[in-house]
Order: sequence, then C-alpha cells, then structure tokens
Amino acid sequence: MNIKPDLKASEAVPLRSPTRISARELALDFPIYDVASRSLKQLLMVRPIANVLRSASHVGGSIATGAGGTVVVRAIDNMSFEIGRGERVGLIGHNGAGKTTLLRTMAGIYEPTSGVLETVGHVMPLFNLMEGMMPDATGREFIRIRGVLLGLEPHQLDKLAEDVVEFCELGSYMDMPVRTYSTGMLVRLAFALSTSVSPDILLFDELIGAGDARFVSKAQERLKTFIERSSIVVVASHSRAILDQWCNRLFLLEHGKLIADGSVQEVLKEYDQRLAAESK
Amino acid sequence: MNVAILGIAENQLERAVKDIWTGLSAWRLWTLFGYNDVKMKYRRSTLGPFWASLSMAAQVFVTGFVMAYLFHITLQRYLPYICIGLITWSFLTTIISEGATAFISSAELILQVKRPLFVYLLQVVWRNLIVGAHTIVIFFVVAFLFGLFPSPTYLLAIPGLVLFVLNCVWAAGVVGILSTRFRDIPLIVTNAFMALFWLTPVVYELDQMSGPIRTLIAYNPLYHVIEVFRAPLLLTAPSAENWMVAIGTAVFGWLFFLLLFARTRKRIPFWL
Repeated sequence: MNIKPDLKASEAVPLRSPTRISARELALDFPIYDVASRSLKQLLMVRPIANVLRSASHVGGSIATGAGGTVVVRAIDNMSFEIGRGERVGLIGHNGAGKTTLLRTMAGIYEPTSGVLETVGHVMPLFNLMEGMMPDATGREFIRIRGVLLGLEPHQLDKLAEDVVEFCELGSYMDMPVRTYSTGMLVRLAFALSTSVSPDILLFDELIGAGDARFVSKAQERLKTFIERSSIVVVASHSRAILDQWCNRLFLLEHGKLIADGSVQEVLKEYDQRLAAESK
Repeated sequence: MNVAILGIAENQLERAVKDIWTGLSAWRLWTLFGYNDVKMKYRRSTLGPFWASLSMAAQVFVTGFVMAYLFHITLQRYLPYICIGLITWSFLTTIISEGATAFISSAELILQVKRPLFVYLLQVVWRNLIVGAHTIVIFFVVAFLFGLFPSPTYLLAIPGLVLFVLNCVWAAGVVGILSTRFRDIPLIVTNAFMALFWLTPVVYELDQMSGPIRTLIAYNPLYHVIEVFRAPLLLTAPSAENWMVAIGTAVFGWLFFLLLFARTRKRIPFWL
C-alpha cells in the first residue's frame, strides 16, 4: 500500500498529545437492500433473473453489483487525510455525498471495506440527541439511561443528574414521563445530557435548533465550552454560519470522494464555483 | 487513551470473540436496558410483571385440567409437569423470537455509537430472565400444593438451567443475525414454533408416545434441552442421553453462532 507522507499533519500533532484521526486510502462499500431484496424469496428466485436484466444499466460510476448480487454504492472512495489536535473540520457536500457515512465510519460504526482508519482518543458521536429516550421513562430515568450509555459509573450518575437538573430548569417535571414534555423541554434535557461528558474527538451531524430563545443563548454558551474542550471536532452541516463559526478546516465531499481539503474560505469558494457550474 | 485502528487485515473470529467479551463486561448497560424494557412494558399496570405470572398461571391451570381429563391422568401427577413444561417452553420460544428483533429494534442505538453488538442480544436475554423469574414462581406454588418438596435432586437443575439458557442464547443470536438480513425469518420462526410445540413433549410425556412418532420426538433436540432443566425440578434425574444432547447442541450451537457472528458482525450495521 502506498502511504503518502504528510509532514504538515505530523508537525501539527505533538507527541505527548496524540489525539488524531488518520485515514489512508479509506474506502467503504455500502450494500443497498430495498425491501424486496431482503426477503428469502427474492434471494432464491427473483434475483438470478433480475441480475441478467440489470447487467446493462449502471448509473454513474459509484453504483455496482457486488459479488453476492447486491447493489453496492461506494460511499467512501479512496480518502486519505490526517486530522490533528485543535482542528475543527467541517464536512460539506450534496446530500448523499458521503458526509454521514464518513462520520459513522469515524465513529467505528461502519468498518472500512479497504484502507485504514485510525482514531486516537475517546470518540463521541452526537448524531441523535434523543438517543435512548423512551416516552414512558421519567426525566430522571432518562438521565440514568443516558449516563449508563455514556459509560458513567454509579457515583458519577448522581452528579450528572444534579448538573442536568440545574441546567435544564425542569424542576418538578424531572419526575414526569418525558412524553409529557414540550419539544423545547425535550431538547433542553437531551442537549444538557449530550454535552455533559467531554470527549477527545467529537462528531456532529448537523446541529441543534429548537428550544426557546433564552435556552438557545444559554445553550450557545454550553455548546461553545463543550466544543472547546474537545481536541478534535468533525461536523457535517449545510449551514454556513456553523461552518464559519466553528470550523478551521473544510472537507468538500462529492460521490464519496474527498475533492477539496483546505481552509474554510478556500473550500467554500470551490464549493460555490462547483454549484455555479452545475446550475448552468 | 482509546486507540481504534479499523481496516487492517484483522482476524474476524477474534473480533467476534472480543465483541462478545466486551459485551458481557458492559453488564451495566444490558441489565439496565433489559430491566427498563420490562419496566416500560408494565408501567401503569397495577400488577406489573406479575401479569406474566398471572397469565402463565391461567394457561397452566386451563391446559392442565383439560389435558389431565383427556389423558386420564391424576392432576397431582400432571399439573406440575405441564406447569414447568409450559414455563420452559414459553421462555425458550419468547427469547428466540424476541432475539430475532434484537438488532432490528435497536437500530437507532446501533447506528448512533459504536458498542459491542452482543449487548443488544444480552438485553433480550436479561429481559426474558426477569420475566422468567416471575413465571417460575407459579411452578413452585404448584409443586408445593401437590407435594413435590425441594430435595437434593434440585441441585441438578442448576447445571440444567445453565445448559438450557446457553442453548436459548445461541439460538436467539443466530436467529437475530439472520433476521436482520432476511426479514422473513421472524415470521418463519414464529410459525415453526407453533408446529414444534406439538412435536416436543410439553403437554404430553415422551412415554405416552410409541412407534415411529416416538422415535421422531426423541430426536427433537428441544426435548433434551428442556428435559435437563425440567426433570430435576420434578425430582427425577435427566438421562445420560438428555445431558449429552443438551451439551452437544450447546457446544455446536455456540460454535455455529461464533462463526456466523464472525462472518456477519461487520455487516450488521449495513443491514439495518
């Protein structure tokens, strides 16, 4: 395997704080199963016929038929990069460009088809604020569930509960089922929980919107300290405000390829040019 | 410091074993999840999980009276037998058919954070152990009423229970993996159990059968897996054949599950 030397990255990462994400020729094939192809009938009877019919029509370059006859999409195509301490990387690109897949691969949920992805540091993905939320659980129970999900010890759970109750100002609602909460209250609770543990590497997919105005300003403050405490942040977003505010490096993705990597301004300019070229 | 290197040529079997091991050590997670499942299911009901005991009791008594009459057996002999039979059967079928959706119903959690996948299977196991602990109470009441008092034979029920649960877990795991890929499997499993119920000595005893049907039923591994736990509770020792078959299915079943898990572990998130 040909590994490109990356001097810039090795300079940026001091030895004593090795938090980093590095990818070398990373590729990920995503098998697509429509409802029909998941069934046994399809596998045993329909597919052999369909394969013959399908062989002529391939859309684009990224969709292909895998060995087992399933359709695979190359969701990440030969990416190599180094992300070091202090870098806040924004991922931009069309829907389906591979942003979420790349985040999930960094989180270790999807394992690469080929190439290597190395992460050093505690990785925390934050894709769904409501993780582990059961409508009949009370606020207090939800805190417990999330605490355990975050890997906290029992004595830390009590502290977490105190911290969250204070931040959320939910008062007596803490012992009510979460299904009785308003959206604002839910967001507040979920947000407070999600930001209660600080990881080395933080992965975001889009960002948080709802909640009342007072909460939003309070949340901004909490979000800011939360992000600042993480050594590396990777965020997928369509919002230029967020990219401008939080990032110091951007990746432009297209059809699973990393087509531009640079400062926020450079890459946004490149992105705009591409958008303009497409709309012509 | 947490270091994860993904994509280098790794031994998939080793990764699968590691998944199972780290899954087991995350006991705080699956005990809480399993406990919450039970809690949420019976929330706002007065009896709570004792509804499971109550419905089992109703089923046992109704089936018990009808069958004892049909078979001309005294209730004293028959009721404890059918009671423990139905309890073990219901545990086995529920854990396996719920195992089918172990990964599917946790899709959101699986796609959210990297965790050992085995955790979601253990969640199903734990949930069923909690419910099982509530239903087995019925047996002890029935056994007491009909004069089957605890004796040293009960000690055999401990290895019997371990074997029985181990067998249930591998089967739930295999069904769970296959169901995630092929969504027909949960339906096949439910239907298969309806037929297997009559091919497994639960409402009748093996000795009531004769001829080719007896041979067929004696080959049913479910019979032996149930018998190693059931017989000691009814104060008889399981036969050497019962032990051998139950141990054999546990060993081969786990090997099969391990190989299947090693092959599919990476792909399960894609199938969700």
